Amino acid sequence: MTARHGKLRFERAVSLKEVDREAVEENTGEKFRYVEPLEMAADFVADLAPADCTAEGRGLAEVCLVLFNANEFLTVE
Amino acid sequence: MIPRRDFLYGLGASLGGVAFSSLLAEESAKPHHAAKAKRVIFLMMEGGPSHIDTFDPKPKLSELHLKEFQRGGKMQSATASGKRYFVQSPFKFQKCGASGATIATNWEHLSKVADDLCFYRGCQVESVNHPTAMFQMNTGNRLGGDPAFGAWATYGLGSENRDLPGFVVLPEVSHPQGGAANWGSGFLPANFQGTPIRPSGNPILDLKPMPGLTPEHQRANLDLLRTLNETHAKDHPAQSDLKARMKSYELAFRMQSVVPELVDIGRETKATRDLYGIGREPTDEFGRKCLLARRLVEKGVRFVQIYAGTWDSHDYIERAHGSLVKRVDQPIAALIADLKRTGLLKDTLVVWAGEFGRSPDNGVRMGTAFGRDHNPKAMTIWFAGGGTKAGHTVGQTDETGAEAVECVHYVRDLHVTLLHLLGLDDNKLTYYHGGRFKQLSQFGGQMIREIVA
Repeated sequence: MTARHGKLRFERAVSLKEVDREAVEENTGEKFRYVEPLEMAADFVADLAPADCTAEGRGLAEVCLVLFNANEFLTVE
Repeated sequence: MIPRRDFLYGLGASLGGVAFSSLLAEESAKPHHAAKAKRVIFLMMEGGPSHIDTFDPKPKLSELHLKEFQRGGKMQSATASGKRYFVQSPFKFQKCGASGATIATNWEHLSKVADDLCFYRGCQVESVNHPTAMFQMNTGNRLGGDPAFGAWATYGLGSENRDLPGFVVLPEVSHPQGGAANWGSGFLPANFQGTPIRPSGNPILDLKPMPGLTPEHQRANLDLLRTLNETHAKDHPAQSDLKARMKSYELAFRMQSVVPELVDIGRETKATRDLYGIGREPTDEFGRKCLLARRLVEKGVRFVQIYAGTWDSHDYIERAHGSLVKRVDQPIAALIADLKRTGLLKDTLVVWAGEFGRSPDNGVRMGTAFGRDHNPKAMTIWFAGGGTKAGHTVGQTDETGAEAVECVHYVRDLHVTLLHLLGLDDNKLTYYHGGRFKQLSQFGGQMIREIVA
């Protein structure tokens, strides 16, 4: 897992600051679009992305992703 | 608990060659009786299109135009207030095809396939507000949370394609009132819920694997996950949600390769794309959805629901309905013609409906910008293919279009009838939940025999 991740290169993700919205105007039946700034994004601190991590960290994250998606993590007995 | 040794074995072993488990086996079920339709394309015109301005002309309204009208009863809209006036339709109508179906002239394309359609003017719903009426049309219950019609259909008949969901939804970017509960699985197992697909761009959000993850590694990860989940599932045999999760991982993996090809309408000929109005406004978006619907049913998807809205024209109905019709008219006519050309229309049931119709009157809102209010007592629904009576108009509304007066049925009877066409008996298609056997019609209903060929 670590060896594979060691060969991979990732681009740094850009966090979204605004979003395109679409709706239908009731009085005209026509679509319109507008851009909504995401105010919460102004001081949003993103989680670490693959580009921020070492190969060991990414390998461990991949295993953890499998484990966290297991049904056992959903069911409290 | 998973023994540590087993866990470590599973972690390190390569399970890429292991076949999918029996959980993923094809789940095609047999209908209760011979089916006339194998699949459904449901064109959901969210917002409540006006029957009076589309398929059910009311010349009487020209006489009554702007005469005062008193509206009452428990189905009075919550938006009704002050003095109300009859409003004539701004649209002209024409008789179309050999059947002489009456259609507003702005449905230029649909009028050409009029003989393939069966218009039904007798349906009523029991709610005057959008979300509850939407829930009733989609799930049979005014309160959200019951399984959608598409979920019942796939529960009853299974899927014909193991690489795609049995129930696919093509919503507007802004979801309809009531949201995703309109295509939920309710108390049915979760794998019967509708899967929304976007007709352009990234078709299913988060379906694409993370960068750098090859199919081989993803397969190995999923095999490990499946091994863990199967061990866990043995202790929770009654947990359908957990089984549905397990299935969804595998389905998503297969969909990663199937869906991009499926939504690539560039594979269709230019003539076909032109037929649907793709590549030009205002038909591009709905045209893509209609063509995608045809491609989905061709691949064995049982139930496709397409949304277009909003038809909630309280004001400026000439402009608003006019614009909406321009967006959907050509794509819908193309879908009917294309299904007929490919031989699919025979056993594909196409349904066009809103959640209710509209009133013959309106309040004076926005000056003289005439519109119409909600009306659960009258609406027009039309069908094509799938064993419905093409070239017929069934049922009748009164002289102003306020209320259905002939062949009147509540929506539960519509559901019973549509299930019947799919070979399913509403009284047998039940699921035990909350202490009783539940069904789409809620507590049974009658067939609307007049619309069945």
